[in-house]
Amino acid sequence: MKQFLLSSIIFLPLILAAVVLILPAKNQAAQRILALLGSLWILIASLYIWITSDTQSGIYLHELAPWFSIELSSLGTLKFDYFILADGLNLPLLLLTGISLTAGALASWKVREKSKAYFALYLLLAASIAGCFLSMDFLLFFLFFEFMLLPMYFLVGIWGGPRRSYASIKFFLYTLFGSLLILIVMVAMYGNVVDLDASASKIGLSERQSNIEYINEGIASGNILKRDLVFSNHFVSLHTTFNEQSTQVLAGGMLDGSIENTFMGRPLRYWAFLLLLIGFLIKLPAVPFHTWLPDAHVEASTPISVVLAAILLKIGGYGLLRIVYPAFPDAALHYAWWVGLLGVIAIIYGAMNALAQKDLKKLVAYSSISHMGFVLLGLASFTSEGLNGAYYQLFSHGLISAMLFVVAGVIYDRTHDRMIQNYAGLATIMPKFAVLASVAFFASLGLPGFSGFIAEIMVLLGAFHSDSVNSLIPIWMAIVAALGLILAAAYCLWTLQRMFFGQVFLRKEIWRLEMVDLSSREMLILVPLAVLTLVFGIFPSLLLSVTEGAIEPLIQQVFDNAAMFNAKLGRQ
Amino acid sequence: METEQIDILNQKLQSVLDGFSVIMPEFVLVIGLAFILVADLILQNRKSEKQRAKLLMTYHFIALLAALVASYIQFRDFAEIQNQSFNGFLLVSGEAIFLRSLFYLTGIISLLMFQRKNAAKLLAGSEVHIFSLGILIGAGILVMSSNLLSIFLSIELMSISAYALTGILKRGESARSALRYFIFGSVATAIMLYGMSFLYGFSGTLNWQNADFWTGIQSVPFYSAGIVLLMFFGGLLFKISAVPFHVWVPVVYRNAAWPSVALFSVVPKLAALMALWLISSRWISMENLVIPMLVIVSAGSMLIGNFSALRENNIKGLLGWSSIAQAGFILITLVAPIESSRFPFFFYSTIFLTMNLGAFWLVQSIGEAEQTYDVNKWAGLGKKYTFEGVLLIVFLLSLAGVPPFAGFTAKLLVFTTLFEVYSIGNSPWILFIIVFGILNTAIAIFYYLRIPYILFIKEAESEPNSIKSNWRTMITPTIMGIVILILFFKPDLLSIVLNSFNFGL
Repeated sequence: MKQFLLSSIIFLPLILAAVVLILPAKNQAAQRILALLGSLWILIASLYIWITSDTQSGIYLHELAPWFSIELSSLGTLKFDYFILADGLNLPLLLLTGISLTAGALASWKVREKSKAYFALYLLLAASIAGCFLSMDFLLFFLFFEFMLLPMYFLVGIWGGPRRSYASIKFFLYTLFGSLLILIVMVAMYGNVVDLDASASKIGLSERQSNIEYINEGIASGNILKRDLVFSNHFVSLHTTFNEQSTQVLAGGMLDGSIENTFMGRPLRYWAFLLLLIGFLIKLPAVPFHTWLPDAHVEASTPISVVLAAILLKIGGYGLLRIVYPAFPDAALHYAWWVGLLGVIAIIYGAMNALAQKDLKKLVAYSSISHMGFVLLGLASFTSEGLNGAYYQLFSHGLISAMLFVVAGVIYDRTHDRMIQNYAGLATIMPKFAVLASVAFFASLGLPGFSGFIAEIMVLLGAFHSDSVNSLIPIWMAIVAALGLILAAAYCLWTLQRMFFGQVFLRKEIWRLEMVDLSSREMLILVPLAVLTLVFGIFPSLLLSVTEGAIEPLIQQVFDNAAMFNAKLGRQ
Repeated sequence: METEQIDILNQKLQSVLDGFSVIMPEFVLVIGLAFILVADLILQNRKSEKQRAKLLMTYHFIALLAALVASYIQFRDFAEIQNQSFNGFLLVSGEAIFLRSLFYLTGIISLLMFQRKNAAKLLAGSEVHIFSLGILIGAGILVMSSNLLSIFLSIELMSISAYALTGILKRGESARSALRYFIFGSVATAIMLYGMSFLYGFSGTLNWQNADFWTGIQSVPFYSAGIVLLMFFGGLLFKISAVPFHVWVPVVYRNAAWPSVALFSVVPKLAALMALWLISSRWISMENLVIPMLVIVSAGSMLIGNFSALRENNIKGLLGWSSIAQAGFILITLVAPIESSRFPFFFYSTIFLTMNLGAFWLVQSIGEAEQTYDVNKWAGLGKKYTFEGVLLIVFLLSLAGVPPFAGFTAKLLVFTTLFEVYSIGNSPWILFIIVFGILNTAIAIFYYLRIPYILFIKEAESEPNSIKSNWRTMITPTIMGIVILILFFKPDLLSIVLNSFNFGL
């Protein structure tokens, strides 16, 4: 039964999407329930894997089946696999996917217009996000990564706000451009990793001969031709947590690094790293590439904002950890300073912008950019605290931003207006809402006791340590980033104070009737999220025990491999 | 002396007779064409317009089916067919048989598109049928040509048919664009003929399979050889509608009968590409000349095709520009050695044919029902034509190269092959076209996505009345859409088919 558990996470939402399409359009209740079921299934299945797996073992579950292979005659055979896997690096994010999709499905409860298409697209989105986190074959990953844009494009474009068409197309083009950069590197990485078993059976090697050394020698001496080799494109061959012996990097290619190819005076490996980095930074988003995010958030409806902020952005950080760092460790260390700088800029710039916003949703969007800056800074520090903190930030920000967008949605649902200055003293008329909103804002500013605090403090510790441990990040970056915490406190508390405290004020008298306290459905969304941010703020080891098993070896591998590459290529 | 000459004549005649099995499908089509001509004469004034149209269409359909059967027989008995025939004028390959079968299928689809159009008047005359078959006959010969003369002959046959088909609507615009097409076409073929005469002068042979042909070209100065080769390729590039021989495309696409455009947007294009692909097996000695040429032409096609499409408001013209850009992508596979370019080339060609025809079909069904091909007037029509709209999105996104559609796989294959070629030779030209091509897919997204945006996201100006679409007309595009999806998930299905056609050149 556990055999197909991982596949069911991807395919059950897909099947439910088909069911939604088949059901008559009038049956709106069934559509909602199916969307909720699909999201809940991701939540339950990932929770089940989490509970039943031994967190020390590295890999919890995996499924591997051949997908297709293509013979390119003299260039060898390319083999693509349906390869999905759960480990410490993706399981927490998968759980987060389940949580926020469920929250989003509940928040979509009132969608009536074209509801059939809406919930079918929502389930498609769910399947492709889950697939993106689980995939271990580069092409499979890319398929989900890119396919995710389509449902999102229509979800923003059809059910969004007044400027939705502009926002949706901007979102689509930005992220598509990023994924094309990733595509370039993906294409360049083909023909680098040999699938030993398939190649051995094709050439007719004995078991003793089927190792990468024998094949490398054979190619060098001409006994083995490249056209007879079978190439795979799994990430795992790059990854220590799954030391798969059956795929190995071939000598002479870009991934092996025994020959330095340069392009415009820079090693090709560095170019590949930069392309991937930009591709994922657009998704994250980091500051020069971020402008799609505020637009998309403002125009998207509440549930879509929740999904966008809570999970879609996380794929950027996840991609860096999963693909970029293992494949190009030397370049990652080489450019760590710049990545850290981008992180610091994002922290400060995002926070400053958040301070200046009048629209509540835009404020939350800019705070997201600021928080994602912490992820970048943590990743750049390459310390244990920094990387774990960055990962913790991905998870924690998922919970917190989901809450914040629901808070904005609660107000918007009632009055169709999100301007901060139009409200004051909401605590008096909506006490339950005020409590939960305060929790969300306090968690966002990094108050001790909430998950955001753990994440940010770990990132800052990592950034401070980096100077003495590996001298990648200068101390001043950590200091400036700490300023970001103060700015976060400023914009969160200021907003809270303006909107919720003081004398009751509503821009229009008629809103008085609309502004009723939270419904039980809204409580059902917000309370679990609030509880979770508290739980993960008080018991960080819940998450860290899972991620450490994946991240510690990753750091070790990055340093080892970077040293190996630099030694091989005689770089300084 | 005399007996010797008679012997030679005898041999040549024998070779022609032996070669008959090679051109069997074309022969079948010629018979069909003649039959339609005669039938038209006999039927004239005897039956009503509708009945005549129906009869002629049936004959046309039977001719195409017979040609498909003939292709199948060729495929089955390939071992017995001589590889070279007509004194080295034609060269049969498994790939040629494969592509020809696809052409006949395209002919059938184009015919089906006519049927849906209220075009009894057009179909009642023999012209449409004859010229459509003419294009198919020319294309069938072009994919087998191994001699410059047969290339010229088949290109002319296709071109003349295409000019006539363009003007067949006999409306002002249609006639004007036919004239324009004709003038461009004549210039292109004249240039090609001029280039061919030079090539003959250099090498003393018109057969590009002959080694003398290439050593002859190599013996002249580099740039003269380049100019002459470009002149020769010009005629083929005109049929491919690659830049700078693309000028006729948008005008003709906008004004000719749409089913005919569907036919000559893929058939002559792929036939000419295949002719170039065949030639690419021999030009290794000229690679330092040909690769930059191909890179520039395909980069230009992508760039001009995509940027012009951005500003195009007529959906027919938009598909025209898109087909120019797509041609650039197929063209660029030719820089790889022939055994490596084989699969990407035919995969892309097959997928291009499928998705292009699918998009053409749906554009016709929406455009004709709405009586407008102005994209901006399609706002909000997705509500009314939901099924058509969704299918159209499938084809457009496949053209754009977005997963999970086979157009993505096709582009991926092209770029992967190119990168492998680059990693062997480290040619900066190839690296340039890889990056340029990938960035161009980003530009292309703008206009491909514009149609779904207009159909589904933009608000309709007036509330559309809901009309039930005729599900029968949706069968063909649905099948094509399914093919596009299946070939994304299982591209090796096509490789199995292609391998069964691979008899070795």
